[in-house]
Amino acid sequence: MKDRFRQSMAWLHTWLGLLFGWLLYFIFITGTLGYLDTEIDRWMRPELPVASYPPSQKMAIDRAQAFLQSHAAHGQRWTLTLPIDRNEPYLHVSWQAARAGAPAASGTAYLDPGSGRQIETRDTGGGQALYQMHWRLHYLPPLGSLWIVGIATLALLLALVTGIVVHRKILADFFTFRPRKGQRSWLDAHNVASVVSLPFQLMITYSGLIFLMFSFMPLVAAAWYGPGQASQDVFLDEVFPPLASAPAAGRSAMLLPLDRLWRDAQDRWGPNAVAALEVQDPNDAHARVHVIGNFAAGPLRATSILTYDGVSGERLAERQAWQSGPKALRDAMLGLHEGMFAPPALRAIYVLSGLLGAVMIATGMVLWCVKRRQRAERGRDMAHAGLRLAERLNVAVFIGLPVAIGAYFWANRLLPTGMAHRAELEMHALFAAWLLMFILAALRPALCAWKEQAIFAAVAFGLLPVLNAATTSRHLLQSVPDADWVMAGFDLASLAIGAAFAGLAWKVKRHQARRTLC
Amino acid sequence: MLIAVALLSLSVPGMAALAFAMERHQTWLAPRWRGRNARLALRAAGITLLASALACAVVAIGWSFGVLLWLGLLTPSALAIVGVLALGQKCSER
Repeated sequence: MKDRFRQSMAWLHTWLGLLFGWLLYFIFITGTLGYLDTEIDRWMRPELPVASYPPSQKMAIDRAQAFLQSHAAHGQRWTLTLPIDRNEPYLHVSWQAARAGAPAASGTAYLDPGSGRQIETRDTGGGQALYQMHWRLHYLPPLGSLWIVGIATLALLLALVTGIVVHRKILADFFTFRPRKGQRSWLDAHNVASVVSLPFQLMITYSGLIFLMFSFMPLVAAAWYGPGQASQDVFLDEVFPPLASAPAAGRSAMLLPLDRLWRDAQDRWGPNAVAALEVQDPNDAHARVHVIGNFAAGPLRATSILTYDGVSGERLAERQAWQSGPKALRDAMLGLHEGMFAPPALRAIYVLSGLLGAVMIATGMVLWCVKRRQRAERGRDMAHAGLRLAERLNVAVFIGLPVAIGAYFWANRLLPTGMAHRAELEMHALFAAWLLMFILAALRPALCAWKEQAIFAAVAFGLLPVLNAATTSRHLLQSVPDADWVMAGFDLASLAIGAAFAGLAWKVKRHQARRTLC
Repeated sequence: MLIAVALLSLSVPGMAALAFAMERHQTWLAPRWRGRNARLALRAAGITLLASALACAVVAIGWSFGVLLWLGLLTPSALAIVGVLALGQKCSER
């Protein structure tokens, strides 16, 4: 009885894993890069200086307001993001065109907080575009990718739970990895990677589903508020109390100096608590200013927001960070998932745990193939088409994706900076390189493909610091003496990744030597 | 960062003690560290070390960050012991 239960769980674990593993690997790799999003952003915009955090934001706010006033006086919305910490290292403004205005009248800019001068940067998707693929599968429509990612997440949660059931000796095998034993080693690696990071894997999967709860379980709210969009809006208004919004009056009026509202918020919240300001209908008689606290101040991803009348300066509304216990639980889950609050040591653990998740998936998939390949070679079974397909997809996804991400970074440095649609072309470069890896994997014997693509990845990452030196002045010989650790850290990490892939290529070659295929 | 290093200096030996308390990894130890009593002592030492790491973390940086950092650091600590044991086995096979 107990064994039959375990067997059926093993069946579920295997096939859920096989069906969703490649997509989940993509989600894990891009999500892990998301923990380093602003660092990647910086590398991909080498024009930006080393981040410096001014002791007071007053000057930055004045400069940003002056800039927006001269560039987008009649915009519909302004956003001022203040340089406060690792999550927001630069003074950044964005503006949205007036409702009737051309979309080209919207824009964003990095500003020097001292002089208010715009810092011209290349057009790039940066680390954010990489990170957003974590849930926005790039070429697919938003709702479609939300559902696909959501179902994959559900599958992962099931795979984790069934995996725990299937694994007979979690404690006895806790520290066991037996190298060079073929199938046994792959199983050990799969177990060790999963078990030592299990709390993280459960947390990240469950909290990932929490992100989707309003879309995936609308009936829970509908049961209390009634069906339909209107009742859904009532529900959302209760969860997120509205912020005294008002339609534009159509009469122009002087916008107050924003630093006055910022100071009022600081007086209520304490120093360095304001992360951003948002202005609705600036220079209109009904202008509204939202002063937003720091979402990354702690594991609870929530913050207070104050709303002011932009003309009189009257305080109109305050939305507290803490609304209710259940909402706080949700905020804590989202906060833990995104890890925005994490200081460097904890951030490193997040990255390690994310990579272990990718290793967990990859070793599981390789194990599936190794098991069936051995059976096929003993002649009991043909190497069926499914096995050959899985072997090839494994290479093209596990090694091909890193090659493609390398191509994205190369495109960032090689495409001319003035080019139109540059950010999109970088993305196309990523997917074109990835497509190429799929084609190569289909054409070559699987073991050769492992070696070749590992060499591609080693070259792509190993030479990134050289490319950086050839195309910018922010290379290692400059960034290390300047203590520009974001730039230097990226270059050094690239070298390490390149070396790791070179090591993998070498291992595959040694493994191959007995067979001499290529 | 400093607190992470301090915690690792407790949790890595803690994980090592727990590993050596297991039947399978006992062969690594000198004979007088083997056997039932030694295993119980090693397990107690391991648990004490991990618990004191948790206590230090909570005292130093508070409940929410402390528990998170402690839980997070268990992963690299265990991984390090897995690596050392695997490397040791590789060497002994030669």
